[in-house]
Amino acid sequence: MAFNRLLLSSRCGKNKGAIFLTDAIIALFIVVITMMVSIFFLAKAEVSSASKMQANRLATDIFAVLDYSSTLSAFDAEDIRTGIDKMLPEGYLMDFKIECERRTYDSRNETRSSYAFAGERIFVRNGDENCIARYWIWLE
Amino acid sequence: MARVGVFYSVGFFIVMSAFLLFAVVVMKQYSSSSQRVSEDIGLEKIQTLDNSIQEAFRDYFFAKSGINIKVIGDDILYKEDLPNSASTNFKNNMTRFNNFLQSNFSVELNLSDINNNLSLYVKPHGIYFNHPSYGGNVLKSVYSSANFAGYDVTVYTNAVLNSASCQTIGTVTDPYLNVNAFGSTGSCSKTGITTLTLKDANAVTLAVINLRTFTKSLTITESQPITAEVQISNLDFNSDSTIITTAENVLRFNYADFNFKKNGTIRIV
Repeated sequence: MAFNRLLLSSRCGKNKGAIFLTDAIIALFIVVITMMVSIFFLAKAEVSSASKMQANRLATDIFAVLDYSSTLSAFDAEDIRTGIDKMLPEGYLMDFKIECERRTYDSRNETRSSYAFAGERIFVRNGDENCIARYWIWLE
Repeated sequence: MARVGVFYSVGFFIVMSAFLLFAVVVMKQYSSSSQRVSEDIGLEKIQTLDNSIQEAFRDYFFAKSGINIKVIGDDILYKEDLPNSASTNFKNNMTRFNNFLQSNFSVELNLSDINNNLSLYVKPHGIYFNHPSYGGNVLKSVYSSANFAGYDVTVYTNAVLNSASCQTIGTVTDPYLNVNAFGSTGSCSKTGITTLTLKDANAVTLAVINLRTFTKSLTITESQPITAEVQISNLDFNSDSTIITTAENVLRFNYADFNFKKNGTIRIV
């Protein structure tokens, strides 16, 4: 802009319009970029926080229900998957791993690099076997 | 025209500066918000862990401890065999459960009270049950004030009882102590007493049930195996708010990542 001002102060009357236009376009371009960056961060902040919290509550509640309904302690992988699918809203996916002292089941076919949320829950199987249910949830 | 150009430039500069400032504020807010969300999720994870550990403990307690305790309306009902043959298995399970917690999480059980006294607190009524030695021959119930009508104790034994089996000393009515005893054959009962000695048909002492108002405690001491059922009747407060917990500081969390430490009780009922 200092350059533009210098040009304006010099004898370049024929090109004044072009200089104004260039100045305006450059300034507008910078403003638009700045706005886009601002909006990007704002949107990212809101969506990221909300979806993480939502996924957290969702996964935690689903596994609490499975625990209280004794579905986890029954250790039937198909029943657990059916239970999850019944409660999980569209747009989310979940994997789980049940680790008991005498048995383990892992529903993951591949290890994902990022999840919206990963949680764990302790339960007792058949009154004497300590188990951990680990679960992962992410947006489809 | 040169002045106009300067005004344009200064104007755009101010607008851009405002947007840049706005962007910086948003970025800082985003960073702060992300941190708070992470902290919140971390604390929720711990809360989930806390809830599930308490649920697992309850499963162990009701399946293995040999004690049944519940709130029925305005009454508390506690039932246990004396001596409690299930206690050894329960203690072993608690030790294993504690090792499991310690090896997988930054959580531990303080087994001191669980293994020695297994105290159960009736809140907010200021009453608790415990054992001088869990698994032994003595059960105690201690109250801080007589905010209930009294104790209804029922004793079951394999011995033969008759009408003379309930031998009493003293009377007390606030709170009262009523005792019913049932043998393999025969039964006896007394109401409003301080001390009852239960004897079989051959005058062999089976148990002593004693209510001491000066120490505010009920003690049941067996000499022969019995099943004791203690009902604390007509609690003064709203029973909806009645809960039963273990002793304080039984469950300990220590998550350095979140700078989070917690010593808490485990809710049984």
